[in-house]
Amino acid sequence: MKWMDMDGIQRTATIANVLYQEGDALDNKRWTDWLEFYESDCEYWVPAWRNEEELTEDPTSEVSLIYYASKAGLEDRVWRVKSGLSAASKQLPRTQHQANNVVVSQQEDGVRVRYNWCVNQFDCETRFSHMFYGHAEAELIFRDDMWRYRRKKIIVLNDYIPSVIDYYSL
Amino acid sequence: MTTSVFDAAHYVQDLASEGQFRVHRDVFRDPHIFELEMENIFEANWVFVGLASQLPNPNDFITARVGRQPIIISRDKLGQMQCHFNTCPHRGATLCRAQSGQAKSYVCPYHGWVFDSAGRNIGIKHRKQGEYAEQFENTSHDMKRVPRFDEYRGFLFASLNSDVLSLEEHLGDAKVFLDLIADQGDDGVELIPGACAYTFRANWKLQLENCLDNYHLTSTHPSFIRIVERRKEGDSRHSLATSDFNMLDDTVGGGFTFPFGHAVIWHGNPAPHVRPLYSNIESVAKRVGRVKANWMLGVRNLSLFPNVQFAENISLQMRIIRPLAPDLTEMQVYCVAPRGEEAEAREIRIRQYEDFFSSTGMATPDDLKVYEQCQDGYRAWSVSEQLGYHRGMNKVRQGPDEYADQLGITPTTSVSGKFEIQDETIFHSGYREWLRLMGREQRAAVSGEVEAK
Repeated sequence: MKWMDMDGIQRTATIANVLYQEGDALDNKRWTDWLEFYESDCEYWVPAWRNEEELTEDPTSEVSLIYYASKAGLEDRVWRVKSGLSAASKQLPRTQHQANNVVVSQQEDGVRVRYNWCVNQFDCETRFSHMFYGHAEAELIFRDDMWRYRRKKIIVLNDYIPSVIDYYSL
Repeated sequence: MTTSVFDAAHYVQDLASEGQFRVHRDVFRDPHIFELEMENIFEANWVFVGLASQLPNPNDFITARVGRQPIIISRDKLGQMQCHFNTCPHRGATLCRAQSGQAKSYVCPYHGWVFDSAGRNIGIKHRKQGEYAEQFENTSHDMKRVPRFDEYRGFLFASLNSDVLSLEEHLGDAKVFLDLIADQGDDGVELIPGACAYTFRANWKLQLENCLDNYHLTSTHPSFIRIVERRKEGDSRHSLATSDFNMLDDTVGGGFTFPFGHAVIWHGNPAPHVRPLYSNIESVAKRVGRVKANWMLGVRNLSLFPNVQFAENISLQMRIIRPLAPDLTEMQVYCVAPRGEEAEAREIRIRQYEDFFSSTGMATPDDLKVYEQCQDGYRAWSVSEQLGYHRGMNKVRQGPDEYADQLGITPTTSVSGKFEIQDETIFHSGYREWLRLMGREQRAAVSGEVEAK
C-alpha cells in the first residue's frame, strides 16, 4: 500500500516496523544492514545532559554523548567494532532492542517519528545485565524501497554509564 | 580482630636507587586498604573539588564529595566562596540535592532549618516554643565548614584535615601546568555544558596511572589510531581533524614528577594546527610568551594526586576520580575550554573531545575495559608482584632537565627522549605520596612506642 493511501494506524505500524527492523539488525549484529537505515547525510545525535533537568540543545557549542553531522561517523564506529582492535568491542554484549509509544506525523518533506526505546544488554564476560533507555525522535524518507533516517536524535535518560555505551546500546 | 598497625612500606617498596620499584597488588584489591585510603588520602589531604567558573555569581553553588563526604561549595551574597559539609546540623539530611544551581538559602527538607549561602543558620522552626536549654542557645547552629578550602587560579581544592600545607605548597611546581591551562583564555577557562558520569569496575589507581601511561597508547588504542589513518587516507568519509599518534614517533617527549604525588607527561606536537587553540595562539603568545604558548600546543597529561587529571593531547579533558569501592570507581569528566573561544574552534574542540576522550567515544571505553580486566587479573590473589614501574629507570634523572628549565620549574625527577621510552618512573611520585600518607599511622605508632620507652 502506498503511504498516501494509508490511514494513521497503518502509517504508525509501517514506521514502527522500521524501528523493529533496525533493532533486529543491531541485535543480530548485522552492522552493514543497520547502516542501510541511514542516509549518507543523516545527522546522528545523542545529546548529553546539562544538568538533572535540561538537555543540551546545540551540538556546535555543547558536548554530546555522540554527534555526527553525517553517517560517516557511524561508519567509523562500525569499522572499529569489526576491526578486532578495540578491547571494548571484542566481546560485545547480547542486546535486545525495544521500541514503543510510537507516534508518527507527516511533515512537508518527510515523516517524523517519536518513540520510547530501551535496550537490554547482557555482558557474557562479567554476567552483568544493564538496561539503557530513553526517548528518540527521527525523520525518515522512503528511498530505494526502504525507509531511511535523515535525522535521528536519541535521548538517554540513564546517562550514568557502566564503562561502555555505543551505537548497539542505543 | 587485628590490632596490628598497617605497614604501608610492605605495599610500596621504593627501591628506585637499586633499580626496583614494587607496588603490591593488594593496593588495588584489599577492602581494608581501600578504607585506609579514604581516611588517609582522600579525607586527610587536599583533593580537587571543582572550578570557580562553575559558580560564577553570588549565591551560585555546586555540590561535590571530598572522599566519601558530601560538601557544598557556594558563593555568599557578596560573591565570596565558601565550603561546607552538605548535612544539616540538626538531624543530618543533606541540604542541597542538585549538582549545581543558585540559592540564597538552603532549607532542610526534614525540620525546616534555614541557612544562608554563607552557611549561617538563619532560622530554626518554632525556636521560641522549643524550650531549648541554654546550652543549645550557646551552640553554633551553622553548617559545619570544611576545614580547608582554597583555590589556585580558579581550580578549587578542599581538605578535611586542617593540618596540611598551603595549597600553593601542595601543588608546588605542578601549578605551572595549571597555568598552562588557565592562561589559554584571556579570562581563564570554563567547562563546556554537557557532562557525563561513568563508572568502571576497577580500582581508582588504574585511572591515576593510565593518564600518565604512554606505554599503553599503541596497544590499547590501535582502533582509534587506525581510524585516524583511515580518515587521512580517505578510507573513512569522516573528515574530523584530530591527533595522529603515529606522528609521535618523531617527536621528543618526557615527564616530570613533583612532590606530593603530582606528575605530568608531555610531548611535542607534530601537528599543532589541528588543535582548537591554534587559531588564537598568536594572541596567547603575546600574553604569556612564545615558550609557554608552544607548551600549550604540546601534548600534556597532568595528574594531581589523588583525584584530578587534565589531559590535553587533543581538545582538553578534566577528569575527577571518585573511588566508590576497591573495585568500583566513578568518573566525572568535562570538556574544558578557554572562555570566549571562537565558535569554530569551540566546535572542533567538542568534536575532538567526543571522538577520543568521551566515555562514549572511541578510546576511553577501551581503557575502561582494560582496567576491568586488570582488576579481574588481581583476583589472582596468589600473585602480588607487578612489573609495571620499571621502564625509564636508566634514563630518569633527579631534578630538572633542559625542558624543565624552559618552564623555570624544579621537578623531583625528569625524563625526556624518544616516544618509545614510554617511561614508567612517572608513576613513582603517586606511590611515594601514597606511602607517605598511608604510612602516617605507622610512623605515629612507632614514634609513640619510642616515647613510651
